[in-house]
This record gives sequence, structure tokens and C-alpha cells, in this order.
Amino acid sequence: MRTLSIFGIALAAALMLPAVSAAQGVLVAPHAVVIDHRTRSGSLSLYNPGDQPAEVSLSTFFGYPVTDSSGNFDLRTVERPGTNMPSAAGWLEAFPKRMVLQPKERQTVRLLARPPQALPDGEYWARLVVSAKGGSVPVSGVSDSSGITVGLNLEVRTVLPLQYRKGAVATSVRASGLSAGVEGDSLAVRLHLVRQGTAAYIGTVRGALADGSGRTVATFSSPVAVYYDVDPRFTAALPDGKLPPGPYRLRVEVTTEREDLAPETLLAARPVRDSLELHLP
Amino acid sequence: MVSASSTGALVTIPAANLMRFQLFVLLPALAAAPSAAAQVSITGIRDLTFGQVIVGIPSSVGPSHPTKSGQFRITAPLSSKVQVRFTLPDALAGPGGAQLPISFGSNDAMAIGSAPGSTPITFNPKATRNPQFQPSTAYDVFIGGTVTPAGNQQPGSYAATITLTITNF
Repeated sequence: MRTLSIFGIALAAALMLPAVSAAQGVLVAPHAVVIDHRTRSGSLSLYNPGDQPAEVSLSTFFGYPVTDSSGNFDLRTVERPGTNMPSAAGWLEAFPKRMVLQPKERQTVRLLARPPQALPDGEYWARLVVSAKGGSVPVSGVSDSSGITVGLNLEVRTVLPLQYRKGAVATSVRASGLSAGVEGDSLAVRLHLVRQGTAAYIGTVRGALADGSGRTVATFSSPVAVYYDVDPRFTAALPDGKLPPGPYRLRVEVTTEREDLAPETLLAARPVRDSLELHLP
Repeated sequence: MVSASSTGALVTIPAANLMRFQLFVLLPALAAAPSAAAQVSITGIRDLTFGQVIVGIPSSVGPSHPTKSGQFRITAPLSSKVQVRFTLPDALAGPGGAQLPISFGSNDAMAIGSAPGSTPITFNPKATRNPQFQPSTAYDVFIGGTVTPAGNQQPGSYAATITLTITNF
């Protein structure tokens, strides 16, 4: 009932489409950038889909994905990365760095790398931040007799991974600690992944749970990024929200495939597989 | 069928009477992101507004409010996973350095996917979420809040900024 009530209100919200005319934001493509040392340059395409000008700025910082205690991916940022950290943030520049995108306007941003001399072969990382806000800062709201007006403006940021590769780089992953259990109406799966090689492991983890007869009863597929090591948690919806008692087998595969990224930006590695016997009471 | 996880995966239930709503959500999203697959967009659609504020009386706007809630739209490629994080102010800045406190409750954010059968889920805007764009490739994210003007709140205009950051891993 509460869901339907919220739904009804949300429907009304969707119908208030004149508000869309105040949209401010930016569309970014691609959402992951790879730069090769031989060209030392890349590009981003920005587009303002709104009907108002958008102030856009670009910046870089150093950070890499980690997982929290719940298995959710988070970004660990390092304000002053040491020389032992493969940071490219300090020698990457965007041109232009600031711009005003008019409604429906596109802009290509050039990314130029100026790495230090004698940079060792390897992969270096940075995060690109694309920030956008409306060209003006209106204060909305209606004043009462006290003369107080209140408004909160929206600003949006997109944080993208950037990898700079010099020389031959390779990646793979080691999987261990596979565990699983039913939590509510889902199967929850945990896995410890440690990157091997000289480059970040960008890929996908797929899992399938089969019952005693070999019939697949639940699956999941989730992108992963392993820069050092992570302990991600995955969930698979159970049929009818539960499983009958009995033996089950969970199979997990980690591959360097990604549906959302261009294949030429991915480093290939041999798939890693693991499995687990489960007996549900 | 219900597909849910604490990581923010979209909750999906079949409900034919929701189709009309999904069309309304999907069409603007498609209009905003018409072309390449490998792109991500985040757009601030509507500012969070409080309307009339009376001194000494807290004023709240829920995330499902049809005109006053703040609204963002996020689009991303199918199967991708992002982190969604709000940066929220503690107060709005007014004339002469005056401050107007604002707070955000644990149910002051709401997300709706664009896929058929999507249903709204509420969440705490102070916590991060990691939704996977499967089956939806667009989410509308709404936010509300509460302002608490003091009895002697100085008249004038008060403003602040809410930032929504999406991180691609």
C-alpha cells in the first residue's frame, strides 16, 4: 500500500515535466578512459542534454576501488600519493578544463599526459571528475511575512577511472574464500579477489546456483575492478524468494569481459573459476 | 518476482498498472541519452524547494513530493555498477552570515529505475549506494529534507547546494 502510495506521488512527480526545463547536468562518454604512452592523449565527449547552460569543470585525483565491510565498492582516495603509488593524477591535463556548455551543445575534451622522464613501464591510475552546475544560482521558494526564502541548488559530479599504460602490462586475478548463504530473499556470495600482474583487473564476476538435479535456480553477474584486493559481495534473487531444503552447488567465474566497456580498453586474462557445495536446511 | 539486495539492485515486481508511469520516466531518460551505449550521464532535474517557511516552525519536504523534492536523473550502460553519494549541507547561508539549519532523515532519498516493473525504494541520503543498472539503464533519484528556522531567524534569502556524485569503478 505504501509502495503504491509512493508510486502515485512519484507518478505525479514525473508528470511535472516542466521542471525538466531547469535541468543541469552533463553526459559523459566514455565512462572509462585508457591512454597509451605512445600517444599520451585521450579524449572525452561531453554533452549538455538540458535546456539551460551548464558550467562544467574537470579535475583529476588519485584513488582506487576498495570494498567496505559489507562488500560494497568504495573509492579510496589518496590526497598526496607517494612515489610508490602508481598515480597519473599529477601529470594529466584536460583541455579545456572549464567551459560553459549551452543547451544541447557537445564538447570534446582532450586529455594530455606529461609523464616524468624515465617513467618505468606499467599502468598508472587517476580519477577524472566532471562537475556540472547550472549557469545561474536561483533561490527558489516563496517568502511569507517574515521574508524568508529557501532554496537548494543541485550540482552533479561524475567520477571516471583513467588508466595510463606504458609498455607491456598484464593482469590476472586470484580468487579465494568463496562463501555463500541465503539472506532474506537472496543468495549472498562473498569472494576474496587479489590482483596479479602489473595492471588493474577490470572484469565481471558471474555466478550460478544449481540444485541437486543440476538445474540452475539463481544467477548473478556483476562488474568488478580489482586494483589491489577486494572482498565484494554479490546477490542473486531466489525464485519465489526462497529455496527448498537440499544440496546445491554454486559456481563462480571471474573473467575480463565487461558489457559496458569497449573491448579494446580491456586487458584479457584467463578466466578464474571456483565452486562451493551448499546444503540448505 | 522480487529481486532485491542491500547493494541497491533494483527491486522488480510485475505490475501492469505501473506501465504508464514507467513510460513517463523512461521517455525523458531516453531523450536525454539518445546515442552511444558506453556513456553515463547525471542531471539535476529539479531544485529542492521548501515554499513558505514560517519562523520557529520546522518545514519538511519528502522525497516523493511531486513538486518540491529535489530530483536527479542518472543514466548508465546496461549491467554497469556505480556508487551514488550525496554531499549534503548542514545549513543554508543567508544574509550577513546568518545560517538556517537543514537536516536529512534516513528515508529522505528515493530512487526509481526506468525498467518495466520498477518500484520506488527509499534510502538514507547520508549513506552511499551501489546500484547496478540491470535491468534499468536510468534511475530517477529524489531527495527531501527538513529546515528548522529559529524563532528569531533573520529575514532574507537562504541558499545552499546539494551535490550528487556518481563514481564509476
